[in-house]
Amino acid sequence: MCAVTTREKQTVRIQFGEVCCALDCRDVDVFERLRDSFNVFLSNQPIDITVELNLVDRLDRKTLDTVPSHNFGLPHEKLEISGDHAYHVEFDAANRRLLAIAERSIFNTAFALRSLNKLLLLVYYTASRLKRPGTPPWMLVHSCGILRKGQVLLFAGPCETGKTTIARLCSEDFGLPLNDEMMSLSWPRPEDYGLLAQSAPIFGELPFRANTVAPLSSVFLLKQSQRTVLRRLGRMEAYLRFLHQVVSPAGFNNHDTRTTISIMDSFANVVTGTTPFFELEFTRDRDLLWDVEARLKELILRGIK
Amino acid sequence: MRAKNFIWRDIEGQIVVIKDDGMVIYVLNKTAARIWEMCDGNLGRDEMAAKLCERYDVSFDRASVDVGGTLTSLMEKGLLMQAA
Repeated sequence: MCAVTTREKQTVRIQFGEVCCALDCRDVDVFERLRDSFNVFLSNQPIDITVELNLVDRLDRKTLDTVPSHNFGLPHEKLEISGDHAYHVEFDAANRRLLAIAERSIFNTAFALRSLNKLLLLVYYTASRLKRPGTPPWMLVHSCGILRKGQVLLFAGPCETGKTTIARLCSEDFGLPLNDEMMSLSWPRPEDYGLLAQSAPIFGELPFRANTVAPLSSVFLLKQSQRTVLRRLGRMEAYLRFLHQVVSPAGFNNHDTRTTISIMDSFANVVTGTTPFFELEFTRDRDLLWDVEARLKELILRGIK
Repeated sequence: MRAKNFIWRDIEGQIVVIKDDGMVIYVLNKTAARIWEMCDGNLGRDEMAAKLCERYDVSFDRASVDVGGTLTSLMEKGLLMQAA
């Protein structure tokens, strides 16, 4: 039995940096959830790439063959195909369209929207390269961004190092959390007076609060610890650790790993060469978290030298 | 000479070498960094040792030992390839 939802498709446009992505979905409930969740990223800009999201009851070979637009009617050699347990994705470069087939059940879980992240990254970097060949103008970094007094403080680190904790802590009176999972950073341009930071439409644990662009103030590399310590990092240590937090700009239409690594290396070099870097060790003990805030405030009052 | 499947960068006098699949990263110490910079396929071991002597207060014999040891180590890690 065909498990595909066949209602009329609805489209939501999402602005992801300079890229406008149209997300087509025929499932009304999921569509409304997506539209509400991407709230601050909704766009009316011209579409750069279209993602057709098809939901199925079960993601297997048999079901894939029942999807109406499966293969876009194109021979396999014209498509790039990728996938994991959550999605089967096909890319039609000529028409700038992605077909994503996912199990409906993943949208019934609390983790549902976060499971979209990998797809969104693929879409962003693919569209970015199609729109402007070469280096993506905005790079993504695993980080939490806090807008404070017109500048962004970036707290970078892998999962479970406390990005969401920092965002929750800072939401009291310290600043506005922009994203607790991933931020976009520009390459420095003379006209921007340095690096800009912007929230990315990538799902963390907290809802999006704003889609704001602001100058990057400083970067804090997070490290869980039994104590609260803030220290300035040397250039090499900052580079090596930040490099691991830069999201690989791989996408469809790009199989050159060397170029991908070169872009990440150049970006880490530029950011660490233009921005103050600190290591923030902190314990997730609630009382001591306030100590983190106090130290950050002290640092900012001193002008982050 | 330097293997072609690595990307390298000088960061404030230190050299970081990244395999172009991103899976391996080396940070070279000061001596290895200077020798790495000379591994462009144009200099032999003795010439490298002589250049180290010009730059640092070290005997030629000592520099030769350092160059030999470093080249062997870089070769073992796959960072160097034989010049054609």
